[in-house]
Amino acid sequence: MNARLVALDEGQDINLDRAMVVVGRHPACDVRLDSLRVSRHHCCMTPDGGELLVRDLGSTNGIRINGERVEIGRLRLGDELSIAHLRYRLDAGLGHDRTLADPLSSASALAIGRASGPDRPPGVALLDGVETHCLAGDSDLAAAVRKALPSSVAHRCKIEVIVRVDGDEPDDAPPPTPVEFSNASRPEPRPEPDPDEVTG
Amino acid sequence: MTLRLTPLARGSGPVVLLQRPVYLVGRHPECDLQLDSPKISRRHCCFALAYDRLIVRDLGSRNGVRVNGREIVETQLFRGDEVAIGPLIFRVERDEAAGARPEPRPSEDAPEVDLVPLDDI
Repeated sequence: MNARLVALDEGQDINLDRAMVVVGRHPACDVRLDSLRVSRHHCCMTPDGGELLVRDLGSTNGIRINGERVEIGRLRLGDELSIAHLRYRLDAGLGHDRTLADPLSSASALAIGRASGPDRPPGVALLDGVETHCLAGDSDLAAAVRKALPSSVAHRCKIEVIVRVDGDEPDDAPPPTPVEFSNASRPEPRPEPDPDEVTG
Repeated sequence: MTLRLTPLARGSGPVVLLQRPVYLVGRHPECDLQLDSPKISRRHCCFALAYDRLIVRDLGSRNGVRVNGREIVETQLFRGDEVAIGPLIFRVERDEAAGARPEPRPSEDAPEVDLVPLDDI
């Protein structure tokens, strides 16, 4: 686990790349926090089974996990640790949040590909634990749009994403029409197209 | 594999089974392993078990921590190493029976401490 504690107040993040990290004001500490509210040897932490075990070393101002003062406790990803008055959040340390719409990230496409198994109907994938509709051939952006649509609509439409720079006139792009229902049995109000966003 | 700390001189200290990820050692009652000697600092050192490694770390104690005679701040411990916590010297040993029996058997020679877990951690 290449996790780190992200500083929510002033100060540096704490990298948890060692078997034991001792935090305090003392120069020999792995992480020095230069505040008089921090004890010389304030707390120590060690990874344990995907969690982070934090132990108070008899500090004056203590440690808190999600606001609760503890002598010893465990942090899961996303939990908040306070060392005296300084707050941190445990982060997996992936570098950046991977999003569906991030074209540089193949994680989203990968996640969809991996999640859709033979036991699922085609076009239905499990993404982030939420069942979402996507079709083979959807780009990351289209998949994200489809995910944002209500599920009653999501599996019945075809999505094409056209990104236009302001002022550009498209040469061969089709006239902007909104989401096109392949099975439009009941009349639905046609939403106003946003020419810069999504057309179908 | 479970490791334990056995006092080099019989009766000079408790046998310590290292089964939890962190042990704080010192004279203070809040320590996981309380060693009652004036030459032991209130928070003397701590042991951590992570990634199958045993690590000892001095916490700015007055009389220091020595491993195989050398003063250290932090080091990894191996079987057979001698750890001196102030005046008390322990040897790192493998606890053969730890997997077989759930609770440590009281020893005849050395008093064995039962480390009481803090709250429900």
